[in-house]
Amino acid sequence: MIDRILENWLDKSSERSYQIPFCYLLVQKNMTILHLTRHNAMEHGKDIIAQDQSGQLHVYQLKGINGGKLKIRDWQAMLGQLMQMVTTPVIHPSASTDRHQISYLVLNGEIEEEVSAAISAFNSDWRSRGFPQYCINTIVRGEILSWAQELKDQLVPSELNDFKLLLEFFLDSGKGLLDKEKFCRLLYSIFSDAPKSDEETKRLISSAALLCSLALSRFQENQNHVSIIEGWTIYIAQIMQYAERFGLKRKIFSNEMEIADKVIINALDDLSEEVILMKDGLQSDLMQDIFVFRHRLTILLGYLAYYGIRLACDPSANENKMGKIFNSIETHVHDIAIWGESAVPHVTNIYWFYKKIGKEEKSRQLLKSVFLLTILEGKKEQSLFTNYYLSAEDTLILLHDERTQPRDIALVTSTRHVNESLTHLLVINNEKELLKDLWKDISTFIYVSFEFERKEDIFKWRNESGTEVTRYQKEYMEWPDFVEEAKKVDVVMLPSMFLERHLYAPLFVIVYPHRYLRNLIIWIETNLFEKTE
Amino acid sequence: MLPDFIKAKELLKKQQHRFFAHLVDVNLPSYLKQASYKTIYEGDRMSMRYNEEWKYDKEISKIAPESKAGSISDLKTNPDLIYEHMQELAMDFVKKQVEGMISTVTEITDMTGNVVQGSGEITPENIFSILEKIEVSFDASGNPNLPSFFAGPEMVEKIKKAFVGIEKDPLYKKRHEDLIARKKNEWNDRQNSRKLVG
Repeated sequence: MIDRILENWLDKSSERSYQIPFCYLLVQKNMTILHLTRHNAMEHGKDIIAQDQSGQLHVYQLKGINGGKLKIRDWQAMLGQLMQMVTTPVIHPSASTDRHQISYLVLNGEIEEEVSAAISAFNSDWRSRGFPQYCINTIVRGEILSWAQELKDQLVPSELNDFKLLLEFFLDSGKGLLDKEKFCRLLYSIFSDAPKSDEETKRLISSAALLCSLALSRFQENQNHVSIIEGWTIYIAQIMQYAERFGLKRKIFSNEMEIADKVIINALDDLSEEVILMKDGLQSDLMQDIFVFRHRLTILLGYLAYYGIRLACDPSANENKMGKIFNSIETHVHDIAIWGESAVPHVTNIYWFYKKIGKEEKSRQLLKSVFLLTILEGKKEQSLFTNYYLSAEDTLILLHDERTQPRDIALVTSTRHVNESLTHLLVINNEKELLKDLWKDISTFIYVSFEFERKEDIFKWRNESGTEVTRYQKEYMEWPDFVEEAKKVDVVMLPSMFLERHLYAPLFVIVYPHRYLRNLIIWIETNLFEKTE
Repeated sequence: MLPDFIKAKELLKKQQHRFFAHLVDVNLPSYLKQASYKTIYEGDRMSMRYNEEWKYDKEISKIAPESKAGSISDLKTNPDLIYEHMQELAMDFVKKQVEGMISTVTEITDMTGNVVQGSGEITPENIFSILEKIEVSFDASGNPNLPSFFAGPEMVEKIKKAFVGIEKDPLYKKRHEDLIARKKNEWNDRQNSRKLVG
């Protein structure tokens, strides 16, 4: 059955859809991926640049022909791009310049006889002119499938329930929000057993990537960038979980993680293009959309802000793009909804972005606004501010379902999970006067957090074991002590994976809002403005 | 395998769940209704920490109500007997919640030393000893939020009698008023100590 799923997926994929899994198949062939181009962009005819273990460069141009055959007119139309691919040398910091690259045309289909003859003629021509390095190699459907089938054993989830999960994602419309809990469960099932050998572990990680691609294929087809970002973020989280649990050597998974990060960045870029052009965030079914578009805006601006943070940390980034992101956030930020605690990570990313680009006043205003909101909600008899285990959609369903009782809402509302983080962020921002003014309220705060049994448990969606900790704010505090307390970070409690990839953490708390934990948030705050990656 | 009515049973399950929650709500004693409830999503332990002064850890335990559902033949004739059975389950569930609450409160009070030893009788002196030990808060109008006494029926009568004794005896009454005034001062001091300084 998995063979049919693989065939079905490959035959329906556009070149963008199978680009990522193809990268992971190359990694299985001991290639290192140096570069991956974005949707609709191609760098001198090259979609993927890879390097083998001898240092030889390989470049690939992917075409989507959906299981069909490449016809002669298609070949003629792409000749220009192919010429670029074969003749233009690769310029990349990791690439050596003493050997010309080997070029490949990759198809998720077959080649007609005339095209095959045309390719042979193309190659003969270059050889006769003394340029054999400009020949084109082909990789077609059958070969891609056989590579994928080599990973089949790791790819197939061992439990029937997990296989059902894969099918559910594969058959999803791909237009909605990703069911993150289910997705986490699907990937976690791959990483359940202890690693046997480095080689086996590498295959497992690549298989998980292929599984991730398969499960996200419908979202990819619909260019549902938010779901793609979330899916691949969860993939990275599961690798981190596995690596932390079993102390894996970095070389086993670093390339695979880099590819996933590139996928996320590309999806963020695609999303930013869409949001920048967006008018008001409304979709066509206005009668229902009017109740949800603000929640959508919050989600979009959170991811946009995170992308802005990444660009701000990259010295080679396009400043013009950052400017557009800032303008877009400014246009829509007053329309966002803060439905509950799971919205707070999105808003916090906007706060971090403002701070990162030097808009200190805006960042503080935003932080103060969300803090004041949580105080007001905390004082209400019947608050509708849901806890961070409930997503935007969960909250909307709860509030609009006519069968919901007040007791149902009371069970799931809270501000106690996020208050401590927000309070300490305000302390770090030296908002002494505000905190003094609000001290009567703040001194009654009860903080709730979760302590994990093992560090890697932070990456699991839910944990059966662990401690829910309730703490009380001290009634009397002196400012210097408060500052010391606010800045304190217990690094020992954080997974080493975070410490090595600190720019992943702000994205992690958006995708896993119930991990908006004080220790992690303050660590992000203190690191975000000191380190560069 | 016999076919199942999955969708219908899902609907019935949800309805029964709501009905059970309603029955628990109706049968819950008033002092438990005042408590706040929340959903626990993960973990198997809870920990309450008050500064560095004390810490209370507890394993999260499940409460499973028990009751006999009645004979199959009775249920076949009258499926609505299930709802009578649910009434019994709700009562048992409430009973277990109360027992759990008493056990937790006893553990915490033993740990913090908030215990008054009695001799089986409740005297005004016992009442004063209890009130001395607890913190009393006051509302915006300055009225004390006095605690509820939680006891068995016999003990409740004894406590009521002790309070009547306090009310009737001028010396006890004065002592009670002085105690409340002292508690108000303590409350004001606590409120005034809610400060961020420096």
